[in-house]
Amino acid sequence: MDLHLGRITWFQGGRDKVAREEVKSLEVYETGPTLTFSMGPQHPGTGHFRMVITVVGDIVVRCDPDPGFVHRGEEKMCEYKTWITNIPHLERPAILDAAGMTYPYVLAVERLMGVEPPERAKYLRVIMAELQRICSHLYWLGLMGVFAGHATMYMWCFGDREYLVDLTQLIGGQRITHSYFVPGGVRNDAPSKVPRELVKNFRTYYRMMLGKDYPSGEVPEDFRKYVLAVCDFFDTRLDEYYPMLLDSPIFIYRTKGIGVLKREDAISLGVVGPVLRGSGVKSDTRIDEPYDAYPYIKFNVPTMDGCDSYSRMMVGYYEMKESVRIIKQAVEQMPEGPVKLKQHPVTIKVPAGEVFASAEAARGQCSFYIRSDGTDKPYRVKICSPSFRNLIAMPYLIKDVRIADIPIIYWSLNYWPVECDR
Amino acid sequence: MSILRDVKRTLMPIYSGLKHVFLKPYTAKWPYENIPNLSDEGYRYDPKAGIGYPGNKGRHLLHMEKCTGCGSCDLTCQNIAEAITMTYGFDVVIALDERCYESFKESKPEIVEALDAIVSSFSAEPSRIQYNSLSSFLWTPTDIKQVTKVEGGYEIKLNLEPIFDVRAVEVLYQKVYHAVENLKTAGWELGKFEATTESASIELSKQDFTVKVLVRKIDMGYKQNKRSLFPSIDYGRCVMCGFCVDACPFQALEMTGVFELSATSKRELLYTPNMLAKRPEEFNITGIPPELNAIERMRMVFRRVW
Repeated sequence: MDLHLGRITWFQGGRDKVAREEVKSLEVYETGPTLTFSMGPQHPGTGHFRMVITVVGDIVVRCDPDPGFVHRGEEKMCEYKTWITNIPHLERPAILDAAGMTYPYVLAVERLMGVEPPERAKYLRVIMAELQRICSHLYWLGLMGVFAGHATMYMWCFGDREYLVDLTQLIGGQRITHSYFVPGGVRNDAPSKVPRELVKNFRTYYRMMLGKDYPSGEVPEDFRKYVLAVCDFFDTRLDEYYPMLLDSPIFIYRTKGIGVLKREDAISLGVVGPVLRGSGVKSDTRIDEPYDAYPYIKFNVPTMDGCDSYSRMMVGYYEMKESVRIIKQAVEQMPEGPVKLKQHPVTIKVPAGEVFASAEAARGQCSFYIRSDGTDKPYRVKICSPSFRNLIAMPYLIKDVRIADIPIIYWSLNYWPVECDR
Repeated sequence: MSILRDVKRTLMPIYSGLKHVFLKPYTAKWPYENIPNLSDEGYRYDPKAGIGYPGNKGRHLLHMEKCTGCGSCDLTCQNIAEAITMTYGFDVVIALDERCYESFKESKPEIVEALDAIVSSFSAEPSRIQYNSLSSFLWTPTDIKQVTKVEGGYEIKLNLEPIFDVRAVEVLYQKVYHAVENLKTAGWELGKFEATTESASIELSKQDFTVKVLVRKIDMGYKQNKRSLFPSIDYGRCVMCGFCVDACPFQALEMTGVFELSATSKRELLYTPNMLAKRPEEFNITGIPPELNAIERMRMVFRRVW
């Protein structure tokens, strides 16, 4: 697994070199006529976000990111809502990755209360978090297809995402914003039976996408077996993504050598998640500070040494494969038992104190600092979201590149404005 | 070798894509078909075990025979989306004394004018919408439902769906206010005005005619809910998190798989307790829409969407 593609040097130094030489020959910094314009705030791909870009001809010489258009005051809102009723609105900054945003909050509150969730709840949380990570990454990959002019990838990603989102709905009751995690466990157990209609539909889809029936003949209606079936299917589909988008020369020419963030720069800028791992740093909260059921599960942390947009996308691609592995293991290892501590459903008591907790969301490490004064509401909640930490790399990356490369670099950071502005 | 590899790389996406040309496409033709992925199971919560049952978090289902009107769901929602409001059901009655009633029978222009203005104001848009107050939208063209003789006169009951609101006076403000404004210009004078939470009344007089509009709470007749206080939900605000279901100590609220909550106006998204008590089967909107004309129906049959 560990990256037979990491060694690709085939396209390296092609475009990037040409662009740099062109900039040098223009001597833009001293003499060239410049043009400044805004990209956004009508969204350049995701949410409302603006980049003030200065160009000389086709070459970008300066980029000033201007976040804040979708600031919602999440941190202040937390001070007015109770401990559990905070959860639905904390999901909103990153609706594709609701589990990733609420996970650190729930962990922090649990640490403050000094409680440990039941074993089964830990595994269910891991399954949900990984499902949402895959869904978020599929959105990332699908829209990267759109930015790179590859519409098929967009359709495929969203078609396959549907069955993973249905799985989320089976467990959490909602396709994306499920409010599934609560301090002290999860809100409900996974269903024992999968609806017959869904299984039937999945079989039709399987036959349509892969051109053959599901190997065992019958996709079982047992939840555990159904999850494994969906995982197997998705793994097969991921293998098809590779020749379709990631190994296609069109995509490689658009991304290889574009937006290079060197290893030292990545560390000193403090970026997180796939951006950091795309620069060759093996850092993952799931491994570094393991929480819940992650210590009992075997998985790799994929890294790439290319340091460019292509490496970041490949890290996202391999992370999906790893997530499938994690879900498979979690479903098989999941013990029976309760999934929630005995407590009041909406009013919990949290003792005074302060706590810091972080978890690996889809876009990187998401951290919460919480201070409690012993009342039914938090005194202060500070959110440090992964997009906020990756934003700082943007002006360094969108420099000495062509205008057409801006969307590629922007989206290879997997930047989500709402998550950044909170 | 790199050239061969490049050629292979270029051809592989075409090969992967071409395979799918010959496979049967699969598209769910919603809303003409049901979406098969959804189970009918709704999210429920067991307060004794302290755990929820897995299911879809869609439109709520209110069990009126279990709801005690305690307002736990309202309290929880105040912290989340402010979608739930505890409401009473109200009836509207026009009270006339005997002499007025006789002149109403004789169709005296003054009294007919007054009744006409009051009755027609119920089918008009509300004059104002109070923050966090609800009023049901199911207005049928109003007429007289029932005339009863009471002490000192007659009471004319209007043929209305029960109006759900937080206070009785809101019904007067939102509905009768139109009529009062119109009648004032026609020479009617505003008389006694009374308002409590559960009832409200206003008197209008001209010469020696007196018309009284009464708003009365409807007693739903549930033993466990003497005040007849039930939750109404504004789906324009609801985020479907299901914490109201968790908060209910009597299992009176649960969620269903119904997610088709579209409406043509904001007010249609205010669901009254009577609507919430309907089972999801009665809310099925899939199938050929009734507003389509014959040609469109034919086209749908030919396109096999139905």
